[in-house]
Formats: sequence, structure tokens, C-alpha cells
Amino acid sequence: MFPNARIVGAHESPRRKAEVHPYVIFHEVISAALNDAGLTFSDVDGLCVTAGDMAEGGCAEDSIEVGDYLGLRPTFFDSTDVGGCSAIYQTGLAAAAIEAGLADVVVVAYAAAPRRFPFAPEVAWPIGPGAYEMPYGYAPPPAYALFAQRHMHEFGTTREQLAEIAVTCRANAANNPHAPKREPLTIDEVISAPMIASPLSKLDCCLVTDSGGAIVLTSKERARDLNRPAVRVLGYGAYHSNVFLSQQSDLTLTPGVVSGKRAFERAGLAPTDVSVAQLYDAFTITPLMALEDLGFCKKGEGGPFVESGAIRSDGSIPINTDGGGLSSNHPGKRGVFALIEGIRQLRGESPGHQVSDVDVSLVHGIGGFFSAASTLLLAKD
Amino acid sequence: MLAPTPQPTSYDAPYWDAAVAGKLMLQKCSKTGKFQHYPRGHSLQTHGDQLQWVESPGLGEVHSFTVIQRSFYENLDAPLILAIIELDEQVRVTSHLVNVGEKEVSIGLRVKATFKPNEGAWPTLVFTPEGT
Repeated sequence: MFPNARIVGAHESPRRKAEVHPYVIFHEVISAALNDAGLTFSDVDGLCVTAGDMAEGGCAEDSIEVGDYLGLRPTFFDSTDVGGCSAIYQTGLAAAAIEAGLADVVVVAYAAAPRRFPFAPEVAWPIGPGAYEMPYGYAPPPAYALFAQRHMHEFGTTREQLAEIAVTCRANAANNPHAPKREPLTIDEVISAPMIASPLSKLDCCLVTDSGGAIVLTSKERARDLNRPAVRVLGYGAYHSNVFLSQQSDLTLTPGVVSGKRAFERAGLAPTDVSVAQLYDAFTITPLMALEDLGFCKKGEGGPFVESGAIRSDGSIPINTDGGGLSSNHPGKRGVFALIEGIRQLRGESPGHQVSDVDVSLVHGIGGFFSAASTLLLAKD
Repeated sequence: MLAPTPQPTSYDAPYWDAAVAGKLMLQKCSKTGKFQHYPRGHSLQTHGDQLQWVESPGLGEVHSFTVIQRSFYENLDAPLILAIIELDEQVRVTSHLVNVGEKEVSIGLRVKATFKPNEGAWPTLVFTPEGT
């Protein structure tokens, strides 16, 4: 898939608490990613952005506004917001655009400062489906708690098994100088932490950070002249289903079932070919269900699978090697950071746990309340 | 931060008008007999306008639930029980469980709908254990 597109630059902001507007972070990370690629702003003709939820500081933050702030005038652009997986979704679009000759150099970027500008649901969802959901106190932690509760009910998944995911991410974060949480964590500490929404405690929930990240794609031809190891997109899949849980026919299935299958089919690969996986971890239940839906284990067996140590740094499929959203970086949408860590694994540049001999790097993001998913299979050129 | 209060729009006004009278109305596809909720302006089965409003007895069971210990909204006090209810019409709704202890709730618990009036705002659909 995408024989002519290459990822040539990537940068994750070291910021976790911003003293600046997200537009400043956009400029910082795009400058750094272009510099990493050996390119400049004048080379860019494609821009894909997503930002914080609903008007941070009164800004629309679509590609027109962000492009205008940056001083970019792209001829290919996208500002599709599919939540946390937006940047992963847009990487597929960007690769397709390069493949089709619609753009030469595309930047995919995200920046947000939810600690400065908290989400404002009262302006977002009073009409339509939200009128039947948001008045009840809907927010990400209780929504994912509802998924976890159902998974525990149907398959006997335990809180200890969920906690194993937080413990694994924390161990990977130990070496990452930018991860806010690096001290060792135990399963007991996760379980005995204050409950946020049963069965999820505070340590089953991701951090809330202010940060940003960007990657740069160009053609195979142009990548040859640049000074960075290029990364190929072998497989890509995307899918969206429901906004809210009430519309989801099976609470134990995520849209990753479809996005993952498409990505593997298009790449001609299987889960056993994957060396390392970045699985979106807004909550501990999120990667557990991704492991099942992407085919790393059978449906319902995610609990015993993580309990076996399979996802640890020395396991069969190490996950979230930078510390993930649980211990390193999670503004509203983590996708771009999972993507950057997936690229760093192929370049041998992980700041957390670098897996040796990485052939295939999987990046999987979800958005909303398991509302959307995007999956990428990446490899060295 | 405030949880939003509902605002009826063109296609769901009958739901909210009935709610004021304490009635739970669901949309039913008149061609296939399947129910749908939240209300829409078209049948999800046929993509046509073969829809009728049917009053529901409001009976169902808890499909999943969570006890929210830390409320994210100033107008909602924790602890509160957020639940997905599967109505006997085979549609699911998001709601609160009230008049029930946290430890008495389990998946599969039979529940019944009731509307809680709100001064100056549309009523809130909540559920209590059946038979209470």
C-alpha cells in the first residue's frame, strides 16, 4: 500500500503543561518536524490538523485558521476531527494524497492545551443525540467505565488485569525524560487509588497534558535526498461507528475490529508479524480491547493475555513503549504521539523502551467513546 | 463546567412533549416493526419516513453501569449511577439509576422508567428498580 509515500520527519513536544496558546505549540512542533526531515515551511503544500475540543480560547482551529497563523497556504488540507485517532486517520489521507500526486510535502499536526482550556460540553451537545446523553454526566471516564464493566461481566476480566496495563506503561515511561510519571507502579496501587468511575480508579485513567506533535510525509523520490531514515506505510484502515454507547450493538467490540482488519489485509500481514504496538490508552480498558480486536488474542481473552506478561517490554508484543497516555502524554487526542512513537521505534529512537529489531510497527488509535478507529502498519524503507 | 440541558429540535419534539406528561415515547418503523432511539427524522431500517411514535411501558434491564465518584459537572453531584438500560423494545438508553443503593445494582437488574421534573427545563428520564 502507498508505494510512493514516505514519512520523513517527526517531533513530539516535550511540553506537558503549556504556558502558551496551542497555536504556539503548533508552530514549535511543525518547525521541529520539518527540521527533522531536512525540509522548511516553504516546501509544505499539504496540511492536516486537529486541535483541542471545541474552540480553545475561542479559536476554530481548523486547517484554515492554523494554516493562516503559521503562514502556510496549502493546496491539500484536512481538519477531520475523529477524536483521539485523528492524526492516525490523517496520515492515511496524507499518504494517499502523495500517492495520487495531490501534494508533495504534507504535515500532519496536533496541538492542544486542555489544562488551559478545558472542554466545554454545555456548548457542544444540547441538541440531537447529545440531548439524550450529555445531561447524565457523560464524560470519557464514566463512558469507558461502562465498557469495562460490561467486559468484566461477559468475560470475567479483573481489575488486576486492567491494572497490569497501567503498570506496563509506567515501566516503559521510567526512562522517558519527558514522561511526567516515571516512578514504579504496582497493581495494588492502581486498584487502591481513588475511584473515579467504577471499575476505573484514578490510575486506570490517562494523564491530562498540554502538548503537540507533528509528522512530515513526502514522496519516495524526494525522501531519497533527505537526511532521515524514511518510514513506509504498509497498511492503513479506518472506521467510525457510534457517537454514544447506547447506539453500540455490542459494548465489547470496538471500531478497531474493522480498521485493524483493513490495515492487515492491505499490508498482507498478520498480528504475528508485528514487532511493537502503540495502542491508544486513554484508560486501561482501551488497549485491552484493542489487543482483542486487532487479533493479538481472542475476544474475551485480553485479561489473561495481559496478565501473562505478553505486553511487557520483554513480552511477545510490547505496547506503549514511551509510557503511553497513562504515563507520558495525553491531551485530548493522543493519536499523534502514538504515531510518533511508532516511527521512533523503527528509527531506534524511542525515549522509553526501544524494542530491538523492529520490522513492523503498529499504531492504533481510537476516538470518542470507541466511536472511531484508525490503524497503521509501518516499516522501514 | 455544566452538563448541558436538552433542547428539542424539529424531529424529536414529540418525545419531549410526551416527557412533560410523564410518558416515554419511542419511534417504531412501521414497515419492519423495529424500534429506534434516540429519535431521528427517518427510519434507520428503510431510510424512509415510515415512523410512528409508540408509548413504551418503560421496562428493561441494566446493560452496564458505573458509579461516578467524581462528577465532572457542577450541576451533577457524585456519587451517581450512570447506566445503559436495554428496554424490552430492544433499544438502549443512557440514564441514571435512582432510589437504589450502589451495592444493589448489577447487570441484568430489572428497572422501570420514570421522568423527573426539572423547573424551567425539560424533564430527565431516570430508572428505578422494577417493583419499587
